[in-house]
Amino acid sequence: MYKFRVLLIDDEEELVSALVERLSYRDIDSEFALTGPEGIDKMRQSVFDVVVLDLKLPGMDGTEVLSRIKKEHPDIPVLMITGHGSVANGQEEIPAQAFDFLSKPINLEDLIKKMQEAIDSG
Amino acid sequence: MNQNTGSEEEKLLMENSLTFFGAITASVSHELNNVISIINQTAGLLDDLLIGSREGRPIKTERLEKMAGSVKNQTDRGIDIIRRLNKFAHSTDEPVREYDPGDMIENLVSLTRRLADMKKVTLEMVPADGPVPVVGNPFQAQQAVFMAIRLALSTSLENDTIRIEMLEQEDVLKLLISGIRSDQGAEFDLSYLKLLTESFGGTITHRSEGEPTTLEITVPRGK
Repeated sequence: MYKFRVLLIDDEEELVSALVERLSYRDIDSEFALTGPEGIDKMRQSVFDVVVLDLKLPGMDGTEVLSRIKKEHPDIPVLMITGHGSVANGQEEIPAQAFDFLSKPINLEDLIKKMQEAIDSG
Repeated sequence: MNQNTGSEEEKLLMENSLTFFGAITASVSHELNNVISIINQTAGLLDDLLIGSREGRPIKTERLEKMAGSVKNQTDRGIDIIRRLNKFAHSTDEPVREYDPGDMIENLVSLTRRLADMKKVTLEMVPADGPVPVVGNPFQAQQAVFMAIRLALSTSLENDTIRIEMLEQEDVLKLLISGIRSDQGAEFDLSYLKLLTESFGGTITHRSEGEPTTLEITVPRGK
């Protein structure tokens, strides 16, 4: 029995595939998408409790993906992933529609805690 | 670089040099962050597998081989990024020196590739037929090429190609940056690029016979 389901959207395949496996060992079910359109498509086909979305994606960027997800699934919380320190330094702005953000490299326990907070806030 | 900014033009050149340096290092730091993130999660996964192994779930050799391969690939990727960044950083060492523009631009294009990847645009470099040694300021020449690429990227659409071509001439090196879509609302404000190229004795022009537009930068060979 899984605790919850998460969709990871990031173009670094080795990163998200490692995360999917590590989350499974913690009873969290997850899938990944390597592009924004692929992520939007997966959300139409399956139900997720939370989305983890990289701000910098090739093609359709994370801000645009967030906007489209929120339009179709306004109740699903979205966590944004950014480059290290870039938000804290004011170089990137986290869109208001995002629940919160985490900086790369991600600490897995911090990610799980933040995802749980996001789900509980709903 | 001259720290005594005596005129507004010198001040502008200095400010834009720093902006250029910042743009390259910011892009590279994002890419290095991805490299470290993958190694970090692979190490975490190995820990998870070791915990499972102690609890009686054996680790398959193929899994370990795959993970070792991933760490090696990412380490190689990181080493390549750092080597290129180091080469770029050292291009500021001397204001004037002999350099190989083919090597320099190939390095710059590689460092800039992430910006193009984000727009799903291909950067294609066409080197000169042979070495074209130049005596001049390599940092300023790179800045001019970078600004031209950035202008092209600002107009590009998915699956476009931006081509950077080097042509050897007697006294100058010609750099042609093609793939600029003037139908995408690009404002051809080349005033700063003109100032920059003039600062190292070069020129910049653009041709728009049909689509796409090509920028032509000349760099004096200074021999």
